[in-house]
Amino acid sequence: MDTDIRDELDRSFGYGPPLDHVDDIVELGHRAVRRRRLALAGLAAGCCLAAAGVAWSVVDSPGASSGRDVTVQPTQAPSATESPAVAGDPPVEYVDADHPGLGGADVAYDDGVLLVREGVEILEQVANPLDRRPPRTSLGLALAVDGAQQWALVAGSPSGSTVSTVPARQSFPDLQTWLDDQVALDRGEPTLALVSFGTGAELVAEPGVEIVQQQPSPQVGAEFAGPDAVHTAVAEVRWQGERWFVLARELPGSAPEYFPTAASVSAPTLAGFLEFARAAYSGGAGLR
Amino acid sequence: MTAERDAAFSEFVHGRRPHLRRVAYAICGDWHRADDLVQTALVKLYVAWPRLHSEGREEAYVRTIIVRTNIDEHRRPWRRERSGLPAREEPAREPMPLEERSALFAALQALPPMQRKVVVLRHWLGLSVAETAADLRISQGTVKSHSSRGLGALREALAADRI
Repeated sequence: MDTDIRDELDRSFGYGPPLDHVDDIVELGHRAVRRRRLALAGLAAGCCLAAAGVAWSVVDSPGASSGRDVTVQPTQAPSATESPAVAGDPPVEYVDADHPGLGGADVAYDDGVLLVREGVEILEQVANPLDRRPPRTSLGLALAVDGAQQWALVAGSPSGSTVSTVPARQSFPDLQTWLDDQVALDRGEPTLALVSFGTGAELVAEPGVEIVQQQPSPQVGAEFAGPDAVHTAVAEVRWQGERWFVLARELPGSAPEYFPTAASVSAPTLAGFLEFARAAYSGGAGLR
Repeated sequence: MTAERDAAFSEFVHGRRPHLRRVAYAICGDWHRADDLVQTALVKLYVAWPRLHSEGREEAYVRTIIVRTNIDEHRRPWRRERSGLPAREEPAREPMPLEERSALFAALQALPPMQRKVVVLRHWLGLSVAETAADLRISQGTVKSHSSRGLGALREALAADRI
């Protein structure tokens, strides 16, 4: 049966449209290597600065001992927007809501033009966060839509566009942090987690992150994790000078998932955050 | 060094990309998303090329990224059924000619995502239970249960198609 099904599967579909040139992928590889080198250089510079800062503080504080706790903040990798494949903003055309190019969305790429629904205001643009090569491109946007702010990530290609939209400051404190998370998601890289499961439901801090408090099995509702969940937990952490809450879950057959939410956009206390999370999940939207 | 790396990498891409692209297509059912998946995986491979090439693990590395990236794609907000957010999917282009898509492939695409991945890895690519579990980061018991259910559904599709 195995051999049969293997052959049947192999015959069940073809080879698809023609492939792009290999040279394009090699060029993307060159760019990825340059980004990685920049990231490593930035990390090294960050470590030097941190070491210098520690040395300075030890000298400056007569009572300081060599055994004092030092929290080294992680240096963020360079944003994907630092090496955009296409410079400059795309031409913008404001169109009626029923414009076919919008397809019901508030913004869309259409043949190299950014279509924006009449009445929608662009507050901020980040060029090509996905670092796509022409004719593909991408754009991060902060929008004012019907009195509410939204963040959007538009991925365009000659045949159309894909738009991801979330309410602004739903989980992340600023557009760039949200875009960095989306870019990581797009590349299959780890998204912002801040913690990871250690033993059982215990959460362990990622480098540069300080866990203030944590609880196993928070009551967030069945929409977050049903009774068959392997582990769930919540933690309050400090990272890069900001307080965050992280909901974590491991469901059967799935890798653990982590949902960091800045305190500045949710609630000032852990109890308040859990209320916030319960409301988000019971409403169906969740935290992502 | 870069020229040597580019040449070796290009040779690998020339030789293996059609197959890897079919793997991605079998998993996601859309040629353009498959191209995006393979491109993402190949760019990562280029970055890690010296180490992986010397260890002969290029293809396994790309395959793993394809199946895991596709898992992550399903976590995107715009793919969530209950997000309630405005979203628009990129329309499928150049649909597959009908004669190239069989009832079996349709049945494969109808499987739940993890079952589909298990069937593709175990029963098309011929990976062992342990290798499939490692690629998908799930337990071997889960691989076996997905495999059993997925194969059952495909057998039914094949039987129905032959009636």
